[in-house]
Amino acid sequence: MWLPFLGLILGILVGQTLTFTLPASFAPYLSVATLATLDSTLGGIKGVVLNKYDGAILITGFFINGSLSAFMVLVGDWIGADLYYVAIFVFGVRIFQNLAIIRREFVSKFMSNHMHKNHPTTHEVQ
Amino acid sequence: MFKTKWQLTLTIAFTCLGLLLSMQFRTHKAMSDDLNSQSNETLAAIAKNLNTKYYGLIQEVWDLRTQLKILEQSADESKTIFEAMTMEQQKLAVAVSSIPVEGPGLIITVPENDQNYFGYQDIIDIVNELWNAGAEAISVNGERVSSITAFTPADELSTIMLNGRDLSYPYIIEAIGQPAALEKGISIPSGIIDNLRAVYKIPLEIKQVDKLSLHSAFVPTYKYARPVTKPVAE
Repeated sequence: MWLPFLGLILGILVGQTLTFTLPASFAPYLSVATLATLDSTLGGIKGVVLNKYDGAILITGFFINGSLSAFMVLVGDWIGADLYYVAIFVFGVRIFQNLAIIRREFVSKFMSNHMHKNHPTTHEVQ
Repeated sequence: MFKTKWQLTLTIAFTCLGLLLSMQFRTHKAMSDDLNSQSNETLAAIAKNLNTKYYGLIQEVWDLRTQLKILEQSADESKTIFEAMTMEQQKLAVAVSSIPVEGPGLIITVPENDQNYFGYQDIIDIVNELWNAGAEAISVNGERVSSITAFTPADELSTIMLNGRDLSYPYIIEAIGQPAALEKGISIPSGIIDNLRAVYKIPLEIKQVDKLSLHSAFVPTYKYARPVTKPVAE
């Protein structure tokens, strides 16, 4: 259960210990890629919560979404269309949607467990 | 089986996400530190700040230069004081016989003789006469005469002790000073040398030399005698 979070902490630590820094001009692409991968991982968690998890979809979505989104922002820069904000908007919306679904699932699971254990009557009344 | 599978892929994804997040964090920090991405207002504020700092630093340079000059002056002063003190110290060291000295002077030799009495009082007289004649440093048989030197008779009156050390013939008294003046000073008629030669028949030899070297004397550490700093009230 906690293995993915350990992986997250490990990744952050490794990133902090790396000495090289990307040039500041990479920041927009990297930020979009980060948002895309965040969306993918939240989608993965959602899959686990809803029992619809598929590892292949998660991994492909993670890497292809991440690199494609950064590439699309780059292409937008080339052709003069600022896709950066579009990408941020889309991924932002998806991230919050995923978060909402995960929250709802967790709450309903917790509530049902809790009520079954301690207040079986209340649940029946509802 | 299913559980471990989702854990594995999710862990890989999360590790990569962590890596990306921290890299993005650092890149963003680098970007916000980069002057190109700052707003005009911030740049203006930074420029103003730097200007203020620049003038402050110029002011500081001037202050430090002034301070340096003052310090150099006081260093020069203390150097002069130090030189004066060193000279004074040398003078005092010569006066209390704590350092070896050399210079022109006089050698008085009292050769061995059995017939005539030559005692500690005679040595004291000769030394006193030499001081009188302007001697600046005196030593007897290689022992420097200082402010705490004592000549005392030994058990037999014929032997002489100087600072607790037995002296024996021939007694050699060396004195640094102007040689001619010293010789004239001690050879006055019916003076000590004259008396010793004429009355007591002591065959003294007096020789002027261009260069004499005298050892330093033992100088005790003073425990009780303290200099008076304030003038004593009458």
